[in-house]
Amino acid sequence: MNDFESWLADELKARASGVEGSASMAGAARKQARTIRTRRIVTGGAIAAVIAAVAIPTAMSLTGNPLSGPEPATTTTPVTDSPSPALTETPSEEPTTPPSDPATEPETPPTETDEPERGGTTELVLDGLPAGDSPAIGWTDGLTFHRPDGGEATLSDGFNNVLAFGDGVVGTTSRDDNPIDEVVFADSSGTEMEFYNGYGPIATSDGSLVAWFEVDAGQLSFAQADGNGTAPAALPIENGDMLSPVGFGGPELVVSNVTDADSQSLGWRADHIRGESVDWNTVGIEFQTVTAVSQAANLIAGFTEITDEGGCSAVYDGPTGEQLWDTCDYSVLGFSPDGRYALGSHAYLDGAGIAFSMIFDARTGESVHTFDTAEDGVIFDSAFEDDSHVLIIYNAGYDSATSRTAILRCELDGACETATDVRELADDEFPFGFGVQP
Amino acid sequence: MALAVDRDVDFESYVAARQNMHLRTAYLLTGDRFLAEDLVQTAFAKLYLAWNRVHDQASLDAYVRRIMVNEHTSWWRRAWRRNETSVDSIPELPRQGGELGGDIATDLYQRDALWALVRQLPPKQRAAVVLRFYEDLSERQTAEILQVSIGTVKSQTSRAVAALRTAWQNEEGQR
Repeated sequence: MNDFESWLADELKARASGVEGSASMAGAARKQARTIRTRRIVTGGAIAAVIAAVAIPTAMSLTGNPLSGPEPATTTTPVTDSPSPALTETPSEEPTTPPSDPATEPETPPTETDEPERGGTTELVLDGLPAGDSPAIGWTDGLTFHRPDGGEATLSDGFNNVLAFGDGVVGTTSRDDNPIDEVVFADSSGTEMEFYNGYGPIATSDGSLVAWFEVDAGQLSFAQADGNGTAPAALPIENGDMLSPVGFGGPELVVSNVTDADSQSLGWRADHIRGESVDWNTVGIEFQTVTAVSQAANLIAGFTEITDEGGCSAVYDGPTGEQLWDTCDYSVLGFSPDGRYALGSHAYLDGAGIAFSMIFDARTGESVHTFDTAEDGVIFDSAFEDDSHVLIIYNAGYDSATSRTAILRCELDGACETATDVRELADDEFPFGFGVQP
Repeated sequence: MALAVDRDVDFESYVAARQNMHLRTAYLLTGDRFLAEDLVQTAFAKLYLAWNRVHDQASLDAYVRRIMVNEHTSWWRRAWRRNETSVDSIPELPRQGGELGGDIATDLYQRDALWALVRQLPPKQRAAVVLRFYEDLSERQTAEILQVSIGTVKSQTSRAVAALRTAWQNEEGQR
């Protein structure tokens, strides 16, 4: 710390030293909490908050290679205890209301292949794992973005929510003098080509169409990766809604969380990119915020309720509007590319860190596998790499002097390998992240 | 019911022990004692709602700091959207001299001028400065609270310090 910084630190301490409260705020805070509880609504930032708290965005998925490694990294055991030391409750193994009606099954269910044994738990480790290929989805290592096609792009500092687009990338960044994020298109060297005040981006499952919300124009904007195609350039949002796109529920269906101009949540909405009527039965799907959408399976997940003890989540079939299952023990944060599995974690994500990632059957809520952390471990982020592998950014020795991290690739029965080197972290380092999951 | 009672007792104990500490941080974030109290009360209210999910003392403190920073930034954003530049009025810099003379007056002038400049920083830069230089948090801890990358903390902090230093030099040059 130089002289100016020392003087600054001294002045801040001196300025604050005389500030004291006159009475305990506990009573007033509890009263305010009751008010918050009655009108509490979370926006799309709920997920971003916890993930950003460990400096990681969400991920994209393409295809990956089957593991060649040995048996699961650690013993696989039935789930008997809370997988999270951060939770005071013991989550139940099953969702609150698993569906019992066979009619809820899709007309053309995914092909049964290599069904993993369900209900096991794997405690994540970094040592003794076989080394596998690099992640097959977009991922970041410092300011380098590794594209799904194996190419690389250089990112400017503070570039988040990265998505490969053409030869470059699109993502978001925030400016000091602008409280609204900017959606930025950049070339592979990191040179910014276009930017808009707004939120997003999201992409269709094949990556061909990108969408984002432009605040200034009040519209959903679209861009095709090949520069051609027949998609419209924009869809005006007439009523002043501010949209935070979550994902494509179909090739031409954008699902977004909605806020008003004061950032108060107004729930969610679905828009056909051409302004045509939406062929989903959205009437009964009452989410406070949507957290994940499956284009392949037309599923939608989100928080239905936020309570003192956490949050309640549910998964709906979009076209029918039927609730498939709900749970107040976990959150649902993503779907596998084929929509067969869902990825979840703590019931409410508050920035305290992720202690476990859980794979569910997306249509029933049945636990498929839980990836638990050691006592001093934390999961920075997790995402499906393909239909049968999940990538997990795991940090061991978190908050200790010997923190280490790596991206792990795990099969849905718990077998894991490393997808990156195991890196010893100097203080203040978070090298890995995932890009946006199409 | 027992759980609820336990929570109230623990919560009151935490508030009693940490209220003033958080008030001081909130004051540095807002630059206003009344706003600071509002900010801390809101943070405590949200902490109360999340009480059963946050356990140890260090997590509680970090949780409250994170809420305060987010809430303050949110206030600023709402004000910005109403075409205001800041929730705080930018104070006039004090003029040197007055009843006190010599080194004491110069020292007071310099301190007030620096504080006025800190209050003009954008909220994210200001939060970075407060967390790094007042709370003495590491870049990693600051990143977790600000919900940004370590690199962003470094850039926010260095930009803030550079802006303060430049503004300070300009002030000194005008004297």
